Amino acid sequence: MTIGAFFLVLAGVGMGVDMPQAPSTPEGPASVIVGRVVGASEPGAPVRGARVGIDSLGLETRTDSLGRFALGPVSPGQWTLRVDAPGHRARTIRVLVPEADTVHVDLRLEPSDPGRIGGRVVDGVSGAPVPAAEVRTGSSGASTGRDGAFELEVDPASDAALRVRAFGYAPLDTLLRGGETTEREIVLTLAPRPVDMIPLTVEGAYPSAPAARLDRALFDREPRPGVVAVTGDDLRRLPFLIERDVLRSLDALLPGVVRINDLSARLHIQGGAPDQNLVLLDGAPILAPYHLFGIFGVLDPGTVGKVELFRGSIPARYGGALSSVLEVEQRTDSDGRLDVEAGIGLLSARAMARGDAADGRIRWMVAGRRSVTDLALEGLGLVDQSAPFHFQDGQARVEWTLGPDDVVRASAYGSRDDFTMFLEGGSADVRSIWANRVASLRWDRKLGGSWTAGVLARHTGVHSEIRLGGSEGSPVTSDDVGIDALRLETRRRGSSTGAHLGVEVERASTIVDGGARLGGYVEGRSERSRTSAAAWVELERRIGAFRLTPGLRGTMDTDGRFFLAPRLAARLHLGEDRHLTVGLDRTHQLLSTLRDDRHPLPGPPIWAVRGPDEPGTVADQASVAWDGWLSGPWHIGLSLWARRFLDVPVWRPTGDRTPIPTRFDDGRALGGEVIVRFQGARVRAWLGYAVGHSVLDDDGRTYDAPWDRRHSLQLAAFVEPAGRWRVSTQVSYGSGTPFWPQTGEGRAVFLDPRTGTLGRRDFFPIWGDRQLRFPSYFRADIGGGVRFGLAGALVDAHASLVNVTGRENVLYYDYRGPSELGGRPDAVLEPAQQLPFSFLPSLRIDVRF
Amino acid sequence: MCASDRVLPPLLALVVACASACDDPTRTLVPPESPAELVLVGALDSGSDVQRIMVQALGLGLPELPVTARLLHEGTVVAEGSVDNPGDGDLSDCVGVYGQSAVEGGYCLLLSYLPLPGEEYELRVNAPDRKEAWARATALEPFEMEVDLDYTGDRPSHVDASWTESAGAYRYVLTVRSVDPVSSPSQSGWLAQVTDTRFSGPIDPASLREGRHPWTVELQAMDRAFYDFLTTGATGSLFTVPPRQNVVDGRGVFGSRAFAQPVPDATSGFAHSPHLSSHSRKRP
Repeated sequence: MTIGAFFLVLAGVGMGVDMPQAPSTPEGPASVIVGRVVGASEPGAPVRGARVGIDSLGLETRTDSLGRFALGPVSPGQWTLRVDAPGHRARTIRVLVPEADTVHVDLRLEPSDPGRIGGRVVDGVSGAPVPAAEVRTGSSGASTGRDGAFELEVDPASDAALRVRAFGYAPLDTLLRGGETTEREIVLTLAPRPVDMIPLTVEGAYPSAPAARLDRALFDREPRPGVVAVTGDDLRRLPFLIERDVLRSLDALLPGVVRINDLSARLHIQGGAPDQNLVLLDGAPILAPYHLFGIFGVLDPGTVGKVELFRGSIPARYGGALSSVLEVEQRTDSDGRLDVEAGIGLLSARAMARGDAADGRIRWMVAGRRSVTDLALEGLGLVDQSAPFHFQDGQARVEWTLGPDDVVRASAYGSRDDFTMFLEGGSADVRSIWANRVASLRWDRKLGGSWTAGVLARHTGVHSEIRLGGSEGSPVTSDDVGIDALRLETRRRGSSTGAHLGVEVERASTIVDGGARLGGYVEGRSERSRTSAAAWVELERRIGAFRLTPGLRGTMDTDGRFFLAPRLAARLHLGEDRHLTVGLDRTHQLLSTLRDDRHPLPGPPIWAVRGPDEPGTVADQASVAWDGWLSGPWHIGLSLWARRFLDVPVWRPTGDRTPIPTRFDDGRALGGEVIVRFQGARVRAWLGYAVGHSVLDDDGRTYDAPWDRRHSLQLAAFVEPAGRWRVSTQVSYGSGTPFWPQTGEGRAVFLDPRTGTLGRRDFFPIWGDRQLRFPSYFRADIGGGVRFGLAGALVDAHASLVNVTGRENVLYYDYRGPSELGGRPDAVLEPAQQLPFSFLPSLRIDVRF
Repeated sequence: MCASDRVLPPLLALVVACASACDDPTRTLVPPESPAELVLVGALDSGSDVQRIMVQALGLGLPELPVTARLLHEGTVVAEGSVDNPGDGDLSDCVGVYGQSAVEGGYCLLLSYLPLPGEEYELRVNAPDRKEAWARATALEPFEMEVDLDYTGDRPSHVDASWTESAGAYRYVLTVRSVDPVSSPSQSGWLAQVTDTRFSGPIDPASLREGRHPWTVELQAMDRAFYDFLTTGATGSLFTVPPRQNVVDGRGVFGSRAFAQPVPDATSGFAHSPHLSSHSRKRP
């Protein structure tokens, strides 16, 4: 049957008792036109509610649920019968009506072109429009404007499963019956769900792509320089090195976020050290957020809903971080059914389940991951004993909407790594174990007016150990960290003012233990604890084109220290989508890692609470940023920042074996950044350039921070053409970072801690005081994925090729002295590559049931 | 402003940057010149009338001759040694004290002197075109030791040892290991580091798994400089860190030690050695 075909069936069609009755007419003898209207897309399916009429006679009726109609009385003659129905093309046919007869007409209607429905999303409590809400059905999506209105492309003939998501509201999933969608304006009502600091105002039109909208929502919510939001989707689409990773993805997206080499996922942000970053998972810190010696992070993007990154300028509600706060929220999004995902990559296998209960009021997610390469190696007999590494992590989150005013969230995370490194030329191997335990429970309640309140209880635990040698009797250096905190806060959101006040009590304890046996990295045992109380206030006031957000955080601890940290941010609106933001911030930190930047030891970060007589580390920052949200998906950001560090702890384990920081250096950093982002529905790209310089001062001897990358360029792009395919790429360039070269070597004598014998320990290095720089860093990765259905499951395969140009970036330099060069008096530094492969493939396949 | 205007300049910059990144990362570098310094490894031995000092040049090259070492007490030279000819100063003379590391490179200088316990000495070492390296150490007090060793089967399972205090000692390192030359010493040994003057406890059987009879017990008293030098630092290309050192204008260590090794009982372990003193036994 061709499009637009119709047929007349002259055979009679039985009329039921529920047949619509034709109105009477004063003229006679009249006839009646009866018939049935069916759809063409689904042959034989009745079209309900279709209008059937003869305009010239003023006659009109509608089809019943079986698509039947009766129109009359109709005078004899030739009439034009018009039929139209939602979702279908209107049709007219000429019908010859005899006298006093019944004319049977069956009509088949072609579906109309994809239609558009319109509607509004409103707040279920206030009735106010909800801007920037995402309304989606199938592959069609739209974002609401300031008036909450949206238009959506739908198939009018079919039922439409609408999915509505909006920041600050509980998700809404609803079904619109086919044929209803164009009849009226759809009003979708969302239940408010308290979240942190809902934006006071929406500054401009929100982009349609979820990633851009989330980013813009954070930008509006937090008027301070350097805030960036990334969706879990973006993180999942980037090319990845062996494992997908939140931390590495941030480095790929942001030029001012520096990793010093490919084997480290530790981030240096705006000239700061890695331990100056605070990684929060649902409000609780993760202190050892790395797997496999720091090669990649513990957070699987597949379990992440969104990531918010504050760089340098940090709101007063956050404490204990100098350089950044990375707020990660586990996902609990659900489309109303049980979702089970399982996947496997070259290194690990993962599984995740999520769903909801109690009519969507309880949403949950549980996930786990374990390395499988070790199992494969052992199973295939490719290793003599156990494989040199394995790791696993598990996490869960439950979100319970108790009512329109109350939401409770519970979150938990745990991980464990066991890694053995066979030191080249060393007299013993190093075995490192570390584990995270994180849990949080949060209750948010909407109070009267525009106030909300929340209480958060959280726990963070870390156990790490470095074992010299593989036996149980080997010397061990261990670190146990426990942090417990209770936080109360309240927020107010008004039309032009806002406030966020809170108090927090935290107890942190660290135990660094060199163990009973000789040979640990530290000697003795250090037990430290600190209880602190903090109070903060963030205010917000909009005055004309200015938006001021002064903040103040005061912290007092049991050692008698008191810190007052003002945070001031202000934004000047230069137009609807042009903004100038400045920030003046002071931050402080009392928990940091024992770190030797010159000669890093292997293993997890060892955390230590600052001793009672030691100073806290302080960072002062001034920053300014210009942001332009151009033409919807375009965003351009320019920023400059200057920082000063006071009393940064530096550990010299070779100079003092006591398990405490022994020295405190000052430092400063200066930098700037340009980012251009395009965040369309199918194409997203981040392009950025950063310049910076960070130095530290060791009692008058200034040296460049080991992470001082002066210039860096980053490009990340995702393309999702229509269909199931997607491709992505990331390109990184960075000028070389400094290092202290080895200039010579002496022969060391070693008391073997395993046997007590005095023996050779090869050579000990002589480090030069003058820094050299590594060659510039360059890496280009590409990734591609495909999603397809298979036996009722959705298969998502993603492959990455890392370092496609084969760039041999330098990890470190091996010193080759005269003893290794046949007695030649000269020595050389030979580069050791970062990646052993020039074309490292990574593959991950996830299956969603 | 069209989109291409916004994108092209940074893209161009990226291309330029990538092109500039084509410097050769595989090239080797010449390290900055090593300081013209000497590396010393030495410890005053309170139980020996010969003091052994290992001298090397930084960078492991042999220092130019002659190499001279002087031991000073209260400003007066009490012992002096030198290496004047390439065939002299065989490092094997230091192997007994400083282990296998002494078998390659450098010179072993012998200073005939029995240090006075509790007295501070200064070591000064010279070589042509090198800075004079020097360090100070205080000789430890010799000590006496008693030990009982219990066996499970043919392996020691418990040690009970006590000793007199060695004044100036920072740590005592008590060692039980096989002296069977067939056994690899690096695979067979147990130790405890002690600050007290006695130790009684079990011996981890796993640590003696590779050894066999006869077994020996050693006790070394060390000052802090020597102990830290022996127990700090880490090797390996990626995480190489130097040990703690105390030599001024040079590298390495000059510390002090005292040593005791009771005579093993060939049948049942160890007899008591009530009057064994540190200077009566030296490493073979």
